Amino acid sequence: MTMLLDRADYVLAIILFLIGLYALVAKSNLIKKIIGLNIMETAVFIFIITGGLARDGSPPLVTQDTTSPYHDPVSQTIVLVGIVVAVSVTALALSLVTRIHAEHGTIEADELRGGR
Amino acid sequence: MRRLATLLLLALLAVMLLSAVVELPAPGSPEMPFRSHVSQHYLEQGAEEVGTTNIVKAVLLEYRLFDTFGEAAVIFTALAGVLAVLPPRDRSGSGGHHDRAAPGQVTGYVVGRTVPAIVIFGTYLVLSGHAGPGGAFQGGVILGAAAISLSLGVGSDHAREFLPEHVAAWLHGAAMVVFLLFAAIGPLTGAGVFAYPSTAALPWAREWLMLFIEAGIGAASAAIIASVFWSMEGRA
Repeated sequence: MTMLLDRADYVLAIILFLIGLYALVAKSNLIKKIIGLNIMETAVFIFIITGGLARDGSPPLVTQDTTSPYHDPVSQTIVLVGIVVAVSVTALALSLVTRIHAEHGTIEADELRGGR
Repeated sequence: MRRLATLLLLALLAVMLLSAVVELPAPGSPEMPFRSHVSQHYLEQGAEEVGTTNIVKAVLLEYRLFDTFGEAAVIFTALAGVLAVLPPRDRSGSGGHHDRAAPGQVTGYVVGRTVPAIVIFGTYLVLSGHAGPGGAFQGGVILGAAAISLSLGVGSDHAREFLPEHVAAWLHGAAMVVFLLFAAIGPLTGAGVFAYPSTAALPWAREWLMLFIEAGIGAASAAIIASVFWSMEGRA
């Protein structure tokens, strides 16, 4: 149990990830599925950023005179790339939903599966 | 039944993830892998090798420049996909935004007074990323958000006057063009493809090339964010 308490940040990221996955799988509304996907992405970003933190660390700007360790610049860069990709995926998914609504008049996956 | 199966699947996944997390070092502990691997080299040598005090920027624009190129390609491709799925309408005719309530005067006033400050802040972030928090993608997204809030506040017909269609079309590809030029400049100056000229030969070149790449990425992200919004708005 203490093993998990020490890693509470990771556990919270996992809970957030599972909430997003639940929305993605269980919800029928396509917009809610996209929201779930975004929650999952956010959870992954939190996880990566948490993994790159140093205790009492400072941001990776090397001008300041500091003896404390720096946070990991690579994980922050990876998350920056990830956010851009996440936004791109969301934009494309939302445009597809817009088109689906224009063609079929509904964005409920259940109704789309059943009809026509 | 389906809900039960979903919850069961999630519980299984939770157990797997939690048992994996227990094996990791606790957050912030000195045993984290990044404390003994390549990140430390970037932190120690980055300011000297690249010339930026913001090490995230050094990783983005030097050590992993090729990734950044891919990233710029991803948002460009996403915009191409959005425009393919939602073809631009003829805006001279009756647009779809007649059914939308006109923005109120108060909204228009507030947006009109805040957007200039947002634009200045976004531009500052694009241009100052080498020495402090900031960067091209962040600044570009803030500029795009300024265009979106202007569209919502005073109507997109007014907002689009600031970014005419033929200018926007070029700005969408700005990052791609900048990277292509950069890939061409490298071999011309004796460095490899996607490499900066040596500081000994051209001491000013690296700094200006970085600014050039940053400006291209910033302009492209701003134009792409705004165009994605404009291609979706007003459609039911």
